[in-house]
Order: sequence, then structure tokens, then C-alpha cells
Amino acid sequence: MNILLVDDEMPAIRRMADLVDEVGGHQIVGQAANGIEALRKAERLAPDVVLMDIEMPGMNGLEAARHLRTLHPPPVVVFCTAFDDHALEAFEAAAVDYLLKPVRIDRLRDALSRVESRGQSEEQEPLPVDSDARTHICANVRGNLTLVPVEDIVCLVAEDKYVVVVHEGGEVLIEESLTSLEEEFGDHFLRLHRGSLASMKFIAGLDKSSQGGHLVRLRGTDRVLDVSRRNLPQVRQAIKAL
Amino acid sequence: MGDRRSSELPDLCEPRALFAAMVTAELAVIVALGGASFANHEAIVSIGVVSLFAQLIALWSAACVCGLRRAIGQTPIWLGSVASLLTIASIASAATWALVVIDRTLGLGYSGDQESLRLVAINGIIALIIGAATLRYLYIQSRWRIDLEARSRAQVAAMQARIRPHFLFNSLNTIASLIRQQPRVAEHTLEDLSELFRGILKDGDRLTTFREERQLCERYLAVEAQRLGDRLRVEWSVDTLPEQYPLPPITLQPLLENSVLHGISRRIDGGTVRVTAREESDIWILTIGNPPGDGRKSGGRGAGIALRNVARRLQYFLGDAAGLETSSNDSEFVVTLRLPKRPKAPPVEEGETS
Repeated sequence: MNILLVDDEMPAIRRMADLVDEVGGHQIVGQAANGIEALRKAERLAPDVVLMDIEMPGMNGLEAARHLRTLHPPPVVVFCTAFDDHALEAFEAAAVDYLLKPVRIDRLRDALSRVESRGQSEEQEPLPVDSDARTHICANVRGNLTLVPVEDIVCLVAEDKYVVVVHEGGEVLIEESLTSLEEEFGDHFLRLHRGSLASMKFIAGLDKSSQGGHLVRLRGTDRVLDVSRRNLPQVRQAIKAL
Repeated sequence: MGDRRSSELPDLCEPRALFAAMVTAELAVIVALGGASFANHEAIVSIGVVSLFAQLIALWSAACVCGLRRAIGQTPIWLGSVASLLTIASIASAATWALVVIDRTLGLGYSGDQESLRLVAINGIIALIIGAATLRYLYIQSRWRIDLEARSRAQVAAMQARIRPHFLFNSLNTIASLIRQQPRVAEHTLEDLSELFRGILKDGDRLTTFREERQLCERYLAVEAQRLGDRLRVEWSVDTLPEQYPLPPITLQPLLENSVLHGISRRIDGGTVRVTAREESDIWILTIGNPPGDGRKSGGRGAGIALRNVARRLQYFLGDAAGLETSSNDSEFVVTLRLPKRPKAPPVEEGETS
């Protein structure tokens, strides 16, 4: 199988490479030092397995694993961590394997043969949402992964079965529900309407529309978003507190 | 409260307690004779005689209560207290009775013309009240000292237990990796790790020096440097702070560990930890600064606990002029230690406590 190694510590990468060599029969196709780099490399190199650390700067392993699921076909993730994390328990329930550092070669051999025997075709179970919000939103644009930092998102607008992510660099579509996004990013976004969330950071002001309703102006986009009557009090309060 | 034993009563054989008992007795004499003029010869003689009498009672009481405490140490504390107070009252009454008899026999006239039984009762009650106040005071003071020492010891223990499992296992993994590639470096890293742990795990009751604290930090940073490579950079400019400056054990290492854990290791490109010292009239200022980690969860709960812990121990060991403050902006998180040039004497060694 083709393996991608992800760890922010060089010695850890070197040791894992040694062990994979020793197990034999697999190729290391690349290495990455954080979650974002892992996504880029995984997209380009299409590994079968990603051996990934959890604690990493930029984007941690738990979040990267969730984004990796948007690849077709998604690689199998095996976590390597120095210590049992609470977050791991949830992933273990979703049949995601993990190895404890320093990794024993037998454990690595077992983990790789488990991945091999399970086969690629098998549908992977959905990953649990870990307790922390993601730092990025990941969209698959015509086969290319696009990562949008949550910080850069101006607003989220529901359209049909998609959500349009309007960010500083443009717009992308994702297949997630607005409600789950609101739950995940809580106080970062403000609900304006049944179909839209606006980033607190980008709200420029509240105007009256010609029809007597209310509109929110946003920096970084020409879009003007309706405010529903139901959400108006909270929106007013939030804007006053800005 | 319920299961406290008489052995927890203050030890009156201790010089400090004995001294307190004598001072209290003397104060009582001065208060009692407050109206007497010090100008005439007779008054001074009578103060001397009464003081002698009071000191006799105080010392006898102390000796008896001390013996009593040893004899009935296992009884409940209330029983011990009542017995001690009755002992003091009896000694005072007996001494008064003896004095009155001697005085009347020799016809000196110090005891006046009051009924002797009345005098015995009054002195017994006075001794009871003063004895109770003194015992209570000594008891509270000794509890306070025991608590303070226990708390300080517990904090050192907490710092020792605070070795983060992530750090230990990551370090072991680094060494496992180095053994194949660079056995000599692996050897050195293992030595650094051992010295670090030996430093952290040693008895935490004694003050150490800035020099030793810095060495411990260098060991720690050497291990982390193997793991993080050139992402971790450190600058020391601490030449102004004397190497022999006393510091509580394990003061600096937790602060540097915070810098690495919450700052450097959470940055893709790493950063520089800056340790600087400067002089300000009567204190040294030692600062540890690091760029903040990117992303969420920077400066988690662990960081706060370590900071509070270090702050408390600085004050306990070096006095109230010592302290720890933190400040942060977008580009740096800084911990500032205030170290008095004349730290108070180490409190754990027996001796002075006001």
C-alpha cells in the first residue's frame, strides 16, 4: 500500500519510516508536517493509508482526518499519538485505528494488515465530530480540495441541499447543514434568517429595506442578507454589542 | 475537628512557646499594676516581686502542661485542653496560697489584708483566662505554620507530578528514533532527560539557585530541541541576575515548558523563547516571552495552574515582594517574575516567624 506520514516532529517521521520499511511490502509516498499539508499531499499522492499524529500546529490530526473523508476514495487514517486522548475514544468507536508512540513494529504490522484486509472499497463509517470546532471548512470543487479558514468566512447561505460558503477569496459549495454549522461554530456566526448565518467579524451594519424589512450589510461581499422578523431582536442586540 | 488529639496542642517545652508564655505573664503583671507609679522605689520593688511570682507560675505551668501533653497525647483534644487549663489554674492557686502564707508569716504586707481564699480564687481565675488565651494563640499559630508548610510541600509534589505524559512519551519516541540514526545524540538526549527528571523529582523543600534552575531548563530545552528541531529557538540574556540568587525548586522549567507547549509547538514555523533579566532599584525582573500559538486552545487550563503554583511558591519562599505577572498581545505572551534583591530568609528552616 501507499503510505503518507504526517507528524510535526522530524524524529517521529524518521522512526515511522524505518518501521514501515522493516514491515516491508509498503511504499512511503510522502510526508507532511501538519494537517493542512497532509490534505494537500493526500490529494496529490492519493495514498491508501495516512499514518498521522494528532497534536500538530495549524490543523490537528483529528480535524485533518475529517477533511480527508471528502477525498474520492478517502484514504484510511491510522493515528499515532504519544498519549491516550479522550478524543481518541470517539474515533475508536468509528473503527479508526491508532498506535501509541513509541510505536511497536508488531502493532504497526497488525494495523497495516487490518487496513489491507478490510479493503478500500468498503464504505468507511462516518467520523465523529470532535468536541472542538474545525479551523477550516473543506470543499471538494470539481475533484480539488479547497480549504477555507473559518476566520475568512463572511457568511453561510443555504441553497437547495447545499450551503454556499462566502469567504474573502470567493465562494464554494459544501454539503453540510446550516444547523450543524451553527452548532459547531456557535458564537462565531450570527443567525440572520432560516437560511443564513453571518460572521460577526464581517458585519458592517443593519439597514431598513424598501419593503420595511431589515438587511445586514457585510464587508468583503456585495451580498446583502435579509434578517427575519424572528431573528431581528438578537441581531440588533449583537450589532449593538460589536 | 472531632478526631483531633491532645498531641496537637502547642508544645510548651519549645523555646518559642516558652518565651510566649513568659511574655504573656509579664504583660499581665504590667496591666494588673498599671495604676502603680514607676517613680517610687517601693513600686519598682513590688513590680519585681510580682513579676517573679508571675514568671514562676508561667514556667511551672508550661512545664506541667508540656508533661501533661506527653502523658495524655492520645486523648481527645478537648479533654487535653480542659486538663491543661485546670493545671494552670491549680498551679496559680497553689502558688498564691503559698505566697500568702509566707507573706503573712513574715509580715511583709505584699498580699494586703484581703481574705486569703479570695486571693487564691481570683488568681486562679486570672491564670485560667490568660492560660486559655495563650494556649489558643499558640495553637492557632502552630496550625497556621503546619498548614503553610504542608501547602508548600504539596505544591512541590504537584509540580513533580505535573510532568506531562505527552512530553515523556514524545521524548521517548524521539530517543527511539535517534538510536537508529544517531546513537550518540540519542545517548546525550537520554542523559539530558535523566538529569531533568532527577532535578524535578528531588526533594523540594530547599531553595535552589538560579544557576541550578537554569541548568534544569537547559536540559529540558535540549530534549525539546531534538524533537522540534529548528522550530525551537531560545535566547538567554540574563547576565545581570546573580547565579547564586535563591529560587524555589522547579520555578523556571514549568514556565519554559508552557512557552514551548502553548507557543512554539503550536506554530508551524516555531519561534523564539526569550528569557531576559534586568535590574530595578530593589528587585530583579526576570521575563520569559514567547510568540502565541496559532489556532484555538492556546494557553489552556494547564498553563494557568502552573503559573499560579509558581507564583504562590515564589511568595512563600522569597516573601511578599516576590511575584509573577503575565501579559500578552498579538505577538507575544510574557511571564514576568519579580525577585526581591533581599529575599526573606527561607521559611522552612526553623527559626524566625513573627
